Parts: sequence; C-alpha cells; structure tokens
Amino acid sequence: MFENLKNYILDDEYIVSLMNNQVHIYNYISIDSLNDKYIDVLLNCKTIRINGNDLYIKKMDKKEILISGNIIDIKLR
Amino acid sequence: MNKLKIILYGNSNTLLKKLIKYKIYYNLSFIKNDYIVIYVDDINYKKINKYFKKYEIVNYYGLKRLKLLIKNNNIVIFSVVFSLIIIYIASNLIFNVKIETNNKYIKTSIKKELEKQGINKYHFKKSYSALDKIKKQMLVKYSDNIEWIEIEEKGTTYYIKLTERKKEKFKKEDEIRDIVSDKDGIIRKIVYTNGVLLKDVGDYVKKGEVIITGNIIKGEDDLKDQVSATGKVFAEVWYIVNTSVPYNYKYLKKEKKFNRYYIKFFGKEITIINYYNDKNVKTNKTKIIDKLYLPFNVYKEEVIKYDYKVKKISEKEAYDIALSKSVNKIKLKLKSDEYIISKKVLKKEPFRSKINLEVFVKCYEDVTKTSKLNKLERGSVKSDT
Repeated sequence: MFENLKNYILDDEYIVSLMNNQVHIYNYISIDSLNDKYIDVLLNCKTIRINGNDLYIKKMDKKEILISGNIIDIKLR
Repeated sequence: MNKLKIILYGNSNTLLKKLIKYKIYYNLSFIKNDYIVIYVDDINYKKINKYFKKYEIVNYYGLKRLKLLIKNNNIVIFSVVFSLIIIYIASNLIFNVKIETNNKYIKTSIKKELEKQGINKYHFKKSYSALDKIKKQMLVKYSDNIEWIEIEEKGTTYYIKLTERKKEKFKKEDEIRDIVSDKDGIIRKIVYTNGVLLKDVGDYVKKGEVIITGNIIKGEDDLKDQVSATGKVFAEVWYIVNTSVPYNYKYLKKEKKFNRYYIKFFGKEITIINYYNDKNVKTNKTKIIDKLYLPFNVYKEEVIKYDYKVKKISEKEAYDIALSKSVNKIKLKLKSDEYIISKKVLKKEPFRSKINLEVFVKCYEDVTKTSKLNKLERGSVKSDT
C-alpha cells in the first residue's frame, strides 16, 4: 500500500504501451536518437529502442510521447 | 487554452528533430516530405516563432478563435445586436394612449393621472402587476366618477376603457318626505333647512316618530304645500351590551406576512415558493403572468398568518378585557361624527371559568331617517302629523 501511495505521489514510474502500429511511452526522460528506422528513448535507468520502418513521433509532450509507424520490435536495455 | 494549427515547411525529419531538440511539444496531424502539419499551444508557439522561419498558421482554436471571429465580423455582429436592441425598445414603448369616453372632464382627469403614473406616449410599457395597481388607485381616487376602469394593451397602444358612475339626480318635486327618528332616544341636536320642526332638543322620541315634517300646514289642518324635509338629527341613544370572557384567554401572539407564488395549470395549483398548510390565514390573490401563448398562469398570494396562543388570565384582567370588548362592539357601529358619551357596568358575574359583564352604553348618534310622504290634495285636508 505504501508503494502504491509512493508511486501515486511521486509519479516516476514509466509506462510503455504497445498499440496497433503505435507505441505510447509515459514518463520518459529524453529522446536519444531519431530516424525512420529506429528511435531510442531514455527512461528511468533504461533505454528503449523501437525498430521499424517509417517511424516518426506523432505526439510529444512533457511526460509522454506517441511513436507511429511500421513497428517491427521493441528492445529494452 | 488556445491551440494553433501550423504548417512547418522543410524536410520532415529535420523539422521533427528540431522540434525535439528545442523541446517544443506538439501533436502531429500530417506529415509529408517537404512539410508537416502540427497542433501546438500558445507557449510552444512562441518557441516555434523563435526557432523556425518558414511556417504558416492555418487555424486557431479556443478563445482566440472566438476573438478573431468577432474581430473579422464586428460590423455584422454590432448591426445585429443594435437591431435587436432597437426592436426590443420599440416593442416595449407606448406610442399611443386612447381613453374611450365621451365625458371631457373625466377624460382630462384620467389622462393627467395616467401621465403621473408613467402611462404616456414614448414611455415604457408597464407590467401586469403595475397596471393592476394603477387601476386600483384610480378606482379609489375617482370613485365618485368611475364605476370601473380597464387598461388594455394592443400592440403599442394602451386603450383605457371606463364605465362612468351614474348618480341619480335628486328631483325636488318628486321626493316629498318627512324626517323621522331611526332609533329611540333623547334629541340632543337638530339641524334643518327645509320642512316644519315638530320636536325640540331634549324631547324623547321613539323609533319612527316624525321630527321634521314635509307637510306645510296653515292654521289647524289647511295643507298648503308638501316639501322634501331636509335636516340632520342627533340623539342620545342607549345600548346594553353583554360580553363573556373566559379565563383561558386566546390572543394573537404573532402575525407573519409572506408572499406565496404558484402556477395554475389546468385548474391545479403548484406552489413555486412558500408553500403553507394552515387554516389561520388571510390571503389576497393577484394574477401576475397571464399570456395567451402560455398554458398556465402565475399567481401571487399575499398571506397573513395568525399565530394564536392561550393565556390564563386573572379575574381583574378578564373584567378589563370584557369591558373593552363591550365598548368596542358599540364603537364599530359608530360613524366619524358619533361617539360614546358614557358607559356603566350594570352587572358583573364571575364564574369558575369565565366572567360575564352587562354594560350600559350611552352614545351620541345620528338618528336621521327619511320617510316618503303620500301626495295629498291642497286644501282643508288633515295632515299626517
């Protein structure tokens, strides 16, 4: 319960959602690299790489981004 | 918050990288090789204005769009609003007041009074309740001349319909009469202008006795003329009043006034404000909204609620209340030129639960009453007196 409360107040957990040809990331830190084949996004102590074709950032906000395109795979390192 | 739709010209990849580099938050709508269409808010637009050279604002959203709409169409909007104001004012102005009567005197007086009340050319129309109030005031002020007044509104004209009060003119030659006493009593004052006086101040008269006669007699019984006896007679009249007051005395503790508003819809009353369910009330209802195009009417009811309390009183208090009630019973019957001369308690009967009082009251009253005379032949004919 304390963990839940802490997460709710601090709100620092990242969430990655995979949808139909779209990836939604909540609580990202920055975008490391960007081109139409892959996009690297820095999360809390980890980096996520989205591989695909014709990739682009459809929506960008302070805490969330929406990546669209032909997504092949997603790697977390 | 305001949003803007912007077209950024250039290589799409370069543009997107630039947007990310300068942390310009956007929502991508359309992407092509040589341009992108994005949605941004005011704050991010300032950054676009700072870092991008080739861009075009396509549209605004939010309050800014409304402001722009008003700015671009200000003449049309102003004309519409101005026209509506003119129409509203014109339809609520009085352009004509017609008083339907042949009597010039009444017409002039009513017209002056209406002008004082604000019913005049080029003045604003009055509400239903205001018109009702004005009608009532005029009926009171001109009670001698008008029987009824109605103010009807047709378009921008007020039609004032009157019913004149017809007074019967007194025809001297038809109405021959005597002045008789209306009650038993001792005459205290006589004022007369026509007729023959048969009684004097200090005389005792019974009810129906002739005081001033209309028969003019010469000698013993030679009837010379018959006239309309005119005058006023004041006499000392006596009353005995019996009053009973219980020791558990009910008195009015509080009187509360309020207005109840209700809708009358197909005969049913639906209260809007101030519902009450009390029988100890006095009410006065007025209609405040009565339009042909509405299926209901709105009424205002002025309610006075009486709150009675029972109090135990002593014999002395009950005696005082009984005496005052007895005097008031007589006072209510008296007119402005009449008064109570004296009062005396004849009998005081205290019982276990109440007190009975018999009070003798002497009053100074107008006992004048007319009595029609039969037309008699002139000559040696015995009169009625």
